[in-house]
Amino acid sequence: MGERQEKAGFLESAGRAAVGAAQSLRDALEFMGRVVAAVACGIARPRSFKLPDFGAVFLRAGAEAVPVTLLVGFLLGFIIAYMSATMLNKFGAEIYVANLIGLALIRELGTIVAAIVLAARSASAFAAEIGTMVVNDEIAAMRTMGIDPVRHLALPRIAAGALALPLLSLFADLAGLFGGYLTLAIFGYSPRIFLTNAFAFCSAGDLATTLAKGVVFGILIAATGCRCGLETGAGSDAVGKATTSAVVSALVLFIAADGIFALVSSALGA
Amino acid sequence: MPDNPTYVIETDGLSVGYGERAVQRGLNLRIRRGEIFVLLGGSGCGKSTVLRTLVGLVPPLAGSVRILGQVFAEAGREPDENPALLRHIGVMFQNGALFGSKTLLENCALPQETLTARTPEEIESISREKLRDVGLLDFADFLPKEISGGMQKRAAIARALTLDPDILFLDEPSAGLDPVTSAELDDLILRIREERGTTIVLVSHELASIYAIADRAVFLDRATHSVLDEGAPAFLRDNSPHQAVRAFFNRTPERKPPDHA
Repeated sequence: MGERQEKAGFLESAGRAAVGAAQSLRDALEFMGRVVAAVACGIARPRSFKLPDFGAVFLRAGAEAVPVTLLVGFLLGFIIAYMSATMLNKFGAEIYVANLIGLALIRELGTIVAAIVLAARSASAFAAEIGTMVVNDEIAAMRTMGIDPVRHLALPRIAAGALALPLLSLFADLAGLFGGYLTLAIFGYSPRIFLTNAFAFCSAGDLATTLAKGVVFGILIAATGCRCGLETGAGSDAVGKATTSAVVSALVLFIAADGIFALVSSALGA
Repeated sequence: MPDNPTYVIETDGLSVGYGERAVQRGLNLRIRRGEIFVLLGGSGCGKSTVLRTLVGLVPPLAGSVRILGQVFAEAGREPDENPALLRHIGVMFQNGALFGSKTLLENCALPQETLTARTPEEIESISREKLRDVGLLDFADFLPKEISGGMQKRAAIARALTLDPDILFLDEPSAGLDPVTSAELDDLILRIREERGTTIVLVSHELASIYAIADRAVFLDRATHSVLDEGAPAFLRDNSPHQAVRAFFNRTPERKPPDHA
């Protein structure tokens, strides 16, 4: 009897979780639909796009994130290169660390580092800013004035995310390459040899894919932050919950999108 | 345009609430042009929810809301944020709900930029005029956090007036204000009605304020989820057959029978 109840409890919880996940997916898709409608409206009426708002958000999400992106990129490049070099040195193959670092950073890690920084800094900030506006009735006030919060608040943030992330990815790549070079410098390799090997297996297509991934991840991360902010509930802990949800959802979404990119690239033979 | 020019707001069988839980049911309100109408009741009776339903923020659970004779909100229909009707209403939220990153002047400009075809020069001129009307012209370039709570409420009223609305909705305008500031706000509300003929619908707990400005009030009951009584505040205080209404106006706690479980 007790075991059956336990099973029913488990099934009920699993069912509720599945319904909750489906509902979240539906909400996310609905939100993306509203974003697309807002973009269309922005294209039809370019003057309605708030350029100063976009500039301010881009400065905060992009320019102010450069130092931390450089630091994390540098450390990641240095650590991966150092650990790889320690192993490969036993076979006299430490120069291949340059190839490894170049390939890993440009194809994957640079964008991932930048995306993690954007999710941690900006998705949380967007959710907190917009969530506080919900709690303070500012969003309600907007609605009574016929102002679409998605167009007015989310669109400049999503545009800033789409532009900032590819640029941050490049900064992360450069910092990681520098960290990798420092390791090889210990083994006496010159910058020229390092760079020649680092780019040996990379093509212009890899760079283009990285930039495209940056745009897509930037849109996903910024949109997730805005959506979580707009869905903030009532109560003193609501903004905190929205912020946490924004960071977790943004991380999961962009990793899932990265997986899709990898599958598509593989299918296309890239 | 209006079917019946006497009433600017009409609700028919309006039930309001969140999810499936109704906090008020079967409201048939008729609010006249130029009237100052107060939604009264104890905490948790749904006054603010009724106000939010009237301004289109919360969809009705049943019934409909008509503004200036046109259906504005209806059960089973998402609020469509009808710009043509939004143009006729102004809303002041309990804490002002000014946009924190914008100056008072920019706050006043925003609804005009969205809902009117006014030029930037006209928008600035009208924004300054409304701020002067509420005594805040010298603070036009201040951010909301740089002024007091009472000033924020006046600024929110100025913002709500920028479209010269027919109806002004105010959610607890006196809440959290000292008696002098509260009385100043009452004077401002009366002046708006006198000068512009604006219909004003407000939620309030402040008895002094209610007696000073209200033409008519409805008392919403938490226990029955319905209107308990309706009339001029002084009349309700002295003549209401309902103990809960008299207790509210006379500030006497309701005596509940002891629980002999």
